[in-house]
Amino acid sequence: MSDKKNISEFMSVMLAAMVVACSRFSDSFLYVALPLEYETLGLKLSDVGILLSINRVIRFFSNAIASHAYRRYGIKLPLLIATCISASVAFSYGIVWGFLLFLIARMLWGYSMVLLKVARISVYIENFSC
Amino acid sequence: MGFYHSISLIGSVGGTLIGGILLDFWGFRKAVLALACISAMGVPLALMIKESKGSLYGTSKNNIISLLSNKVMFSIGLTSMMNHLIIGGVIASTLPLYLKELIGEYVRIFGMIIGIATLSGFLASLRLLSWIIISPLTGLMLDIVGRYITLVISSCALLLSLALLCLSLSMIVMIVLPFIFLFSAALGTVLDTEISDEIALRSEDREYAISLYTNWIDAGLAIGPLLAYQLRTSMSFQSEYLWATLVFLLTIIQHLSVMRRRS
Repeated sequence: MSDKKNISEFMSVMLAAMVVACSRFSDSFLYVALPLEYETLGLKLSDVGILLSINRVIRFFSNAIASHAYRRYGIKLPLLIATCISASVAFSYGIVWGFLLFLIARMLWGYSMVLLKVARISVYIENFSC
Repeated sequence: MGFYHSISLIGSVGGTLIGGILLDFWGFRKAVLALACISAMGVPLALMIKESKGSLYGTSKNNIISLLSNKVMFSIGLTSMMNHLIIGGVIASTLPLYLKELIGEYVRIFGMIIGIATLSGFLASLRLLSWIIISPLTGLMLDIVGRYITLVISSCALLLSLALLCLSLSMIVMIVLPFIFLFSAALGTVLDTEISDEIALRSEDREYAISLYTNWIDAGLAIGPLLAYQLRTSMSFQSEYLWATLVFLLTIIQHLSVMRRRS
């Protein structure tokens, strides 16, 4: 019984880590692609810096909102929403044109990353803490 | 936690490494859509996670002034911010464009023609992997020679390799960059150890102190690319890296003096 519980806890933790890993693919790609392709995407060089920074800036303001979401709705729903946002944002990178749409996509990605980060830590603490 | 963190890191390494190759072969749109499909695989995985209340994560009451007025914690936070700002922010975000300016669209290595995106992706993934590689070795060094000596060695090695980056041209840059990432990760590990010990000494507001430290790091990673690309309009990348090295030198000097007084 205890073994089954341990395996189940381990699976939850690994799944949470894998969800974060999947979501990060398109974000880290932009660090290589945007500086090389900014002109073909209709961006200026100074826009690249803003787009690569804005997702981190968003984190400062969204930690409290993320904590509130998890306290109110539990882990699964906010995590699922965050995963859907990050996947949608990843697809939007291949579709959107222009600075403003990219900026909105990066801001959404920043918020979903906060939700994913909090979920990752929460799942780990709940399953592995004493 | 290290293993758990490493799994999460696979996404970042894969994104730069695979993404770089796909970018060279398929172009931006197709490459990003292929990676978006991998991101979408997270949705069914998220559905499989068991529900829990998530009540363990919360904000604590705190006093930001008391934490910022602690000289040691401030110095550790500032140095960590500069480490992430310069290496993770300025250098990592400008690396593809800098290499393109130095080398061009393609480079020949051991007879193979490699696209600049593939090369940039490979070097960027080394930055992420260096944390996994160097952290245990730095931990061992901390045990053997002590924290202050490890701090001095990792800082000096990083500053020296940064200076080489400012002076180097083409192929030498590709040799210097992995060392910069390795020494930066080593310095980051020392700083993480320092902050952990400082936080352990506190009876209250530990969660807030940890949160504040991660905010220092986030601030560095947020300011870095912004600063690098705004300055690029008025100076070359080499000048930027030179200024960054000088600022980092001053930060390291102040941190070493604080830690010297502390010990």
